[in-house]
Amino acid sequence: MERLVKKAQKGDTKAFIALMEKSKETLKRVALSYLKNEEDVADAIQETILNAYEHLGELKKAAFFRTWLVRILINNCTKLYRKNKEHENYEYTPEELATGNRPEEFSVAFVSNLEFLDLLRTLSEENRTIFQLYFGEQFTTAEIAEILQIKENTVKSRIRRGKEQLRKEL
Amino acid sequence: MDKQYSDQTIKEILSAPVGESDIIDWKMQDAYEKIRKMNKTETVQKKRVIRSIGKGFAALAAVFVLVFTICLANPVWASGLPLIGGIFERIQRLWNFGELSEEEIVSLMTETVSETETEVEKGYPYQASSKGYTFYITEYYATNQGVFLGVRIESEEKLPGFYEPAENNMNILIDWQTLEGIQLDEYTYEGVLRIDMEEVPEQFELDFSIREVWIDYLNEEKTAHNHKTLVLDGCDFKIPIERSDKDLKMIPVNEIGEAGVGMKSVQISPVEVTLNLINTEEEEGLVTYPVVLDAKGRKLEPGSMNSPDVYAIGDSDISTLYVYVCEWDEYMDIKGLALEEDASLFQNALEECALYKKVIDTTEK
Repeated sequence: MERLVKKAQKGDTKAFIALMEKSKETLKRVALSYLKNEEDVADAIQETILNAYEHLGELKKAAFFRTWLVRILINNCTKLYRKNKEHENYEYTPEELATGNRPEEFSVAFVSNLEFLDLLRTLSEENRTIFQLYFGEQFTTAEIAEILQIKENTVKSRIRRGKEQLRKEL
Repeated sequence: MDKQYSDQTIKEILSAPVGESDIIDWKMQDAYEKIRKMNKTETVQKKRVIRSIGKGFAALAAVFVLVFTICLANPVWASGLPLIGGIFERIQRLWNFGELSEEEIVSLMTETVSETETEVEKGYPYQASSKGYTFYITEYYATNQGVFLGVRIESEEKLPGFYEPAENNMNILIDWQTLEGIQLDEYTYEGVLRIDMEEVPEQFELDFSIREVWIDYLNEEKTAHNHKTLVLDGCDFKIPIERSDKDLKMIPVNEIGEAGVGMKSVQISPVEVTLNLINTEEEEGLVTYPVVLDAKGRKLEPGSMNSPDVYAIGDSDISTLYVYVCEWDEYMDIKGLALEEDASLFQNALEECALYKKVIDTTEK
C-alpha cells in the first residue's frame, strides 16, 4: 500500500483510486459504525475521498496513510452526525434485525451482513467506532486515540467496558 | 441470544465485508470523476502508454483485412465461433452502449482453410499469458474517441467466488478500466474494454499492456463481495487498428453563452455521444459539469472513465439531446435528483442552474 501512496502523492490518479478501492471496505465499515443512514455513509465516504485527494501531499509518511484516511472519515462522519442528529431518533435493535424489520435508512443489500450490525448495535454508541477500529480494522489503542483525539487510556477503558456490555447482553 | 463474543469472534465479525451499496458505489465513482477532471495529467500519462502509431501497420493490416474478409464471406464460420470470439455479439445485451452492426466490428482471429477445404483452423495472434491467466484480444471496434477491445480471460484454476450460469456475480477492471462483460463458466470471463483516446487516427498500431487486473466476486457463501488483484507481466499487445467512420455524425454548434461556456459540436457514433465543449473561463477557475439528457429526459451515463464529455447511448432515445453545462458546485447540490423516478425534477433543476444549455435535434440532416 505504501508504494501506491507514494505514487498517488506524485499525482498518479489511478494509484489514488486504487488506494481508495483498497480502503473501501474499511471506509464502509467505520462509517457504518458511526452513522445510521446509508446516504450519510455514502456522503461521508465521498467527502473523505475528495478531502484525501486534496490533502494527500500533506501526509508526511506513507506508512501513516490508513490512520490519516480514517481520521478524515471520522471528521466527516462527525460533521454529518451533528448535522442530522435531530432527525435521527431511530435505534436499530438486534431483535429487529432478527425479524427482518430493517429501518428504511439502509438498503437490504447493504445490511446483508446481519452479524456485523447485530454486534455493533449491541454496543453503546460511544463504543461502536472504537470497537470497529480496534477489532475490525486492527488499529492499536494509540492509533485510535490519535484518530478520535481522545486519551489512549480512554480507548482502553471503553474497550473493556464494551466487552462487559457484550457479556451482559448475552 | 446464543452467541459467545470472544475477542477472536468479534474480530472476525467486524472485519468481514459489509454488503454492497449502489449509492456508495455511485458516490465513490462520482468523486473519482471529479478527481479525474481535476487531474488532466492522467490523460497524458495514459496516452503515453497506448500511443504507438503507424509502426509496421501496413503488413499487419493486410493480415487482418484478409481475416475479416474471410469471416464476412463465410457467415457459417463467422457465426460458428462460440469458443473464442464473437464477444461483442454476446456482450451487447448486457452492455451499457448501443448495438453495433456486424460490419463495425473487426475480428482479430485468423482462419486457415485446410487443403481439402473441409476444415478451418482458427488462430489467435493476440494472446498473452501471465500467472495462470491467458488473455485473448479477439476483435475491436474503433470510433473517433476510443477503441473497444473484445477481451477473453481464461484461468488455469477456477476463478474466485461463486459462479452461477447467466448471473453476473463478477466485475473485472483491467488497469482500472471496467471490462464490461460476463463470466462464461468457472474458468472464463469475457467482455469489452474501452481504451480512451483523445483522437483516434484513421490507422495506427495500438500498443496495449495489461498490468493489473482487479476482480470483484461474490464469495462462496453468497454473503458479500470480495476482491482479488492480479499484478501481471508480459501481457503486451500491438494491435493494428483501423477507425470506423460509418454512421459517425458530426453536428456543429459553435456558440458560447454569456458565462463563457459553450459548445463547438456534438459527435454521435453508434455507441457514444461526444460533446466538444468550450470553457473560456477555465483558467480563471471556472469548473463545470456537463449533463446530457435524452428525448425522455433520462440522463446519459458517462461512456468513459477518463473522458468526461463522452456518454454511452445504451437504450436511450437520442432523437433529441438536452445538453446542460453547470458550475461544478451547483451541480453537486442537485445531482441527487437524477435518482428520482420523476425525471422532470432533475431536468427542471438543470434548467435553473445551467450556465449553458442547448437542445439538439439529432434527426436533422
